[in-house]
Amino acid sequence: MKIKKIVKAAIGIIQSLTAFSALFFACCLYFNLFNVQTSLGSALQLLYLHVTILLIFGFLSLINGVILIFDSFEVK
Amino acid sequence: MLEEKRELGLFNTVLLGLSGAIGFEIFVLLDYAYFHLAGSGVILALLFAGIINLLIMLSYCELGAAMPYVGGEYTYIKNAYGGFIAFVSGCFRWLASIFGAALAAVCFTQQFTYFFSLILPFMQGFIAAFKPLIIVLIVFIFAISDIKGVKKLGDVVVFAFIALFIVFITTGVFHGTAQVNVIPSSQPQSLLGVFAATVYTFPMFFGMRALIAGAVKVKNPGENIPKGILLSAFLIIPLYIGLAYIGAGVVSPGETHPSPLLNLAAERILGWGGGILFAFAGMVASLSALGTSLSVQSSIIRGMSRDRYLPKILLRTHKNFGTPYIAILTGAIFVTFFGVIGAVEFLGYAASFGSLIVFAFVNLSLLKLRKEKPHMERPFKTPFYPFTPIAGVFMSLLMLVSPMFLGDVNAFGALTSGVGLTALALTTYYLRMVGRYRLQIAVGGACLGSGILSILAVFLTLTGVIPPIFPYLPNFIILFFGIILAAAGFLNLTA
Repeated sequence: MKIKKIVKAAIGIIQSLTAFSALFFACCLYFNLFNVQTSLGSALQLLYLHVTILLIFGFLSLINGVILIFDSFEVK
Repeated sequence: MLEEKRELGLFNTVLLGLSGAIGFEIFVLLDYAYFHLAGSGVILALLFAGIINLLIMLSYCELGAAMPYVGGEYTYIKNAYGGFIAFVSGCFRWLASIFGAALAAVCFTQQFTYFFSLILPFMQGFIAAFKPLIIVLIVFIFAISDIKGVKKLGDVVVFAFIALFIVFITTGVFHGTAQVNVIPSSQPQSLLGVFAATVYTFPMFFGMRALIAGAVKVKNPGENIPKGILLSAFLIIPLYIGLAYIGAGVVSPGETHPSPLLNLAAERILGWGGGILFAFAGMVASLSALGTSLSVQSSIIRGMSRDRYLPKILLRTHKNFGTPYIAILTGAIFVTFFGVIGAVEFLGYAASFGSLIVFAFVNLSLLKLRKEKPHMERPFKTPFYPFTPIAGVFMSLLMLVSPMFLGDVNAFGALTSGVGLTALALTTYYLRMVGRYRLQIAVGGACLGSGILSILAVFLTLTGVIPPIFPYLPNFIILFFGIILAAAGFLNLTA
């Protein structure tokens, strides 16, 4: 049970971090922070599609990760 | 019901309204409206904005006098429409506070840069380069001081601002101003510019809602709240028009100067000291508004958390200071994010967006409560009912959508962001209502599916079957993302 608790917490934390990275990257793309749009150049023809995908995956991962973290603390 | 000692008389009630209305907005919002939208037509725009604000505040008078309790608008809307609409309006009110606080942080950096351009000009470039860092620092300093329960700036600051503005206007009149065309030309472009400037400058007025937030402390609320709201609404109009008139008379709209309008006008009228004084006033106003907005946002999300719409962790208080540190820090993170983006025009519209929707809801609540609770005690009744609240709803919605039709790119950005954040708020509500176990299964399943899909996409890209979806992201990152998604989804699904 202790191993399961640790695995859940670890995966939850990693997933939350990747979720934050995805959301941050989405914001950088949308608002052109740090000149991201310019530096990525022609790869951004589908900007809005990319931002939408990153947002959906980001929020989904964040909710999933947070639930796992909470869940790991409740494992008896 | 939470009750506090009622100790504020009419004078203090008016001061409370003025302290909310006289803020940093005049230092920052006037610029875009004057230089880019309406020129000297901004004076007429301020008059329109003041009148529209007065119209909407009449509904606040009736509801504030009838329900002088904790929660303000949230309470009125909850009484009229129940939980869901109250939750949505609470979200919008929260968003308005977050965007308002971010705008205050940006205004602070503007004034800070201007201040240093006068006293240490060689530092100006250095400070301008570190604006985002300054925003992060001040937001977290204020969040920490809020957590420590530091007292806010008091009535003295309100008096100081009124005195400063009156000195500016009076000196400006004696200094002499160029001829100001208050009435714009009848060309459609000029009239549209005035209308856009009305929308844009409107947030300068609606800070007087602070009076409603403090209604629980007002003595004889049935009489003092309506009088307080109306007096502060009437007083603020000539004050702002006077400031804009002098500013427009001293600084030409065609000037391409990077300094804020009022600072530049103060420097020309009162000299170097005037510029310094206004920059200092701008900084004080911004910091005061930032502190107030952080407190307001935390009280809103705590209220929604108390009503079980948001996680109860937001109610947690600091064991030493007794302040809601989770709620404050949550808001501070959002404020920092939007502050660092730093687009004044975007934040100005975004702050209006939330408030205008709440105004529409408050006016609708008045209509509903008059119909469904006709015998409710109403010490003040909105005149010309039902035209006044209907006009309030109409004007709020018109001001909300009109910048889009005027083709303002900032308005479009703010509206789409507002719609996106609304979707997020509604999703939060739905997720709370659906229950944790069901949510865990649903999200786990979605994550497992998405993870498998991501791994499959990497495989198909590597074998050349499909082109890369994110060409700028290496495949191993997408693969890692997919594996984590699938593993976490599986764990939640089997919990």
